[in-house]
Amino acid sequence: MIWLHRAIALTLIVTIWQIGVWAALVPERFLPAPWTVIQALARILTSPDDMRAVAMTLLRALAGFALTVPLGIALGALAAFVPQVERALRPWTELLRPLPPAAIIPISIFTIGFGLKLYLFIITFAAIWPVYFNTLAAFAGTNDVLMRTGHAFGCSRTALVREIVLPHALPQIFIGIRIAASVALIGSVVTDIFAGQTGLGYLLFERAFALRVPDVFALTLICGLNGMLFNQMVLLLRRLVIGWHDQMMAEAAA
Amino acid sequence: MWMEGAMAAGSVTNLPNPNRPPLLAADTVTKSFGTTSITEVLGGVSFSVTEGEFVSVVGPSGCGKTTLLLALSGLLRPDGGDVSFAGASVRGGTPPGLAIVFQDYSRSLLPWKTNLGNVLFGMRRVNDVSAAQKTERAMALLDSVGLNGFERHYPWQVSGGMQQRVAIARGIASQSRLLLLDEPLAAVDAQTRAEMQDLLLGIAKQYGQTCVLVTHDVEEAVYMGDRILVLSNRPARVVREIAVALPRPRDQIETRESAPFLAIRHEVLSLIRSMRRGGATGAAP
Repeated sequence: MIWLHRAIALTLIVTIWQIGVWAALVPERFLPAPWTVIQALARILTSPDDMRAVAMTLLRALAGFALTVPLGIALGALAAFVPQVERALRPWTELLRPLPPAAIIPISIFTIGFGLKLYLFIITFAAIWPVYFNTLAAFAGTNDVLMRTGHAFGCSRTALVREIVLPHALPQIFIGIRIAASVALIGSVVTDIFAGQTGLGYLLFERAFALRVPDVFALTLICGLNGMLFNQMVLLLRRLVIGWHDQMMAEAAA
Repeated sequence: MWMEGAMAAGSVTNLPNPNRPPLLAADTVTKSFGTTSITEVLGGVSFSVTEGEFVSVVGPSGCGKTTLLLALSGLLRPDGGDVSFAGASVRGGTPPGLAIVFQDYSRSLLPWKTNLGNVLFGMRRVNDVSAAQKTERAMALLDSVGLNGFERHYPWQVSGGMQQRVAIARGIASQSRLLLLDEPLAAVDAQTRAEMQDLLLGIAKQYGQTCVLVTHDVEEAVYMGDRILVLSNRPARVVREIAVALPRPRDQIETRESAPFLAIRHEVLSLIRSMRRGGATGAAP
């Protein structure tokens, strides 16, 4: 049923798009027809150079994501278990958190230079916040009854963390991880655009300045598809780690 | 004062044996909360429980019953006085052999573990048996609380009454001698409650559990207990001990209609009502 609904939605969107092209609300060289974009997409997907650029962006995002998640959890845990750390860092977290990734690129280039390390820095900087704040809140929010249960059955401090606090916190930490995955991809593309010599974002702007509009549409579509791919990856990871919670949510919704 | 209840109840069958050391003993336990405005919750609670007894604790609302139970279990350190279990202080935390069943089963069971996993969690301090034997025991316990076939379900997939059964099985799985029950049936519906009362009595007998039941339901206290401790308003003290000399096994219809049951119920309810009206605190009766 859901697939039928999705097929209808897709058909509607493409139809409206095509009607917009026929109506010539925007000159066709700036709003290409769906079929033109599909042809451009096919060209990009079969071009080894273009696909290498797409893969680079994905791999950098993945590397940044893999670095961000453990770091964010570790810092969030530290802040939760040592409240002095959290209080001391709070002005800094409040100051840095709202900075858009693009805004820190100049400073990063001055201090770090170009290359993979720049990507890793920008992605981590942008994506760490949801992981950090969700971990902090999750660890600080274990309920009394659960903690007492752990104590009552003889959990030591470390056993309490391992057997009660961590499993209880994981669903909320995964909320942060899921947001971090999309932010990591955004960070990777944005760094391509402003400081890259390769990658999807670089390619996108290169084609845009050359006014190869169908390519721009196709590459933008690829950006979105990458996001879907990343999301599916995180959902798979979540099912492996906290499958019980997925099942609980599904049954609560049913 | 102990004899008053005994007379009301007819013959006394569960006199604590002075030759046997108590399994659980509270000695003038005091506890206050707050830093600027101090609320004295426990005002010197003393009583003891002999092995095999079923003791019910009742009192006016908000008198500190849960605080008392936490102090008895070693989860909350008293300001003054001491609690000992099997002759040793519980100051170091809940000792092996003592298990607690919380009112809030939905938050006390671990949602990431199956019912079987939760019962196995209760055995984490049991280390003289193999993992396979543990599983076997846990399955047997779940069977004896009527959860045969629900071992692989998660707690959130079964009803409230069933969740509390898992929590009871988890307590006993720790090889407990003493079960501390903190209003375990307050959150289940009335029909399930009567059924669960009988289940608890049966389980306590089958597994040789000494029980301390904290409840706000006076009829439940009488129905379940060998002895009732009535607490005063805050700061709580034991104002009366009443022996419940009703024959066992108890019966939801016969026992509840018997004259001794009604007499004890009357005594406890009048006492609690008088405290509520008078707002009296734990002055000795």
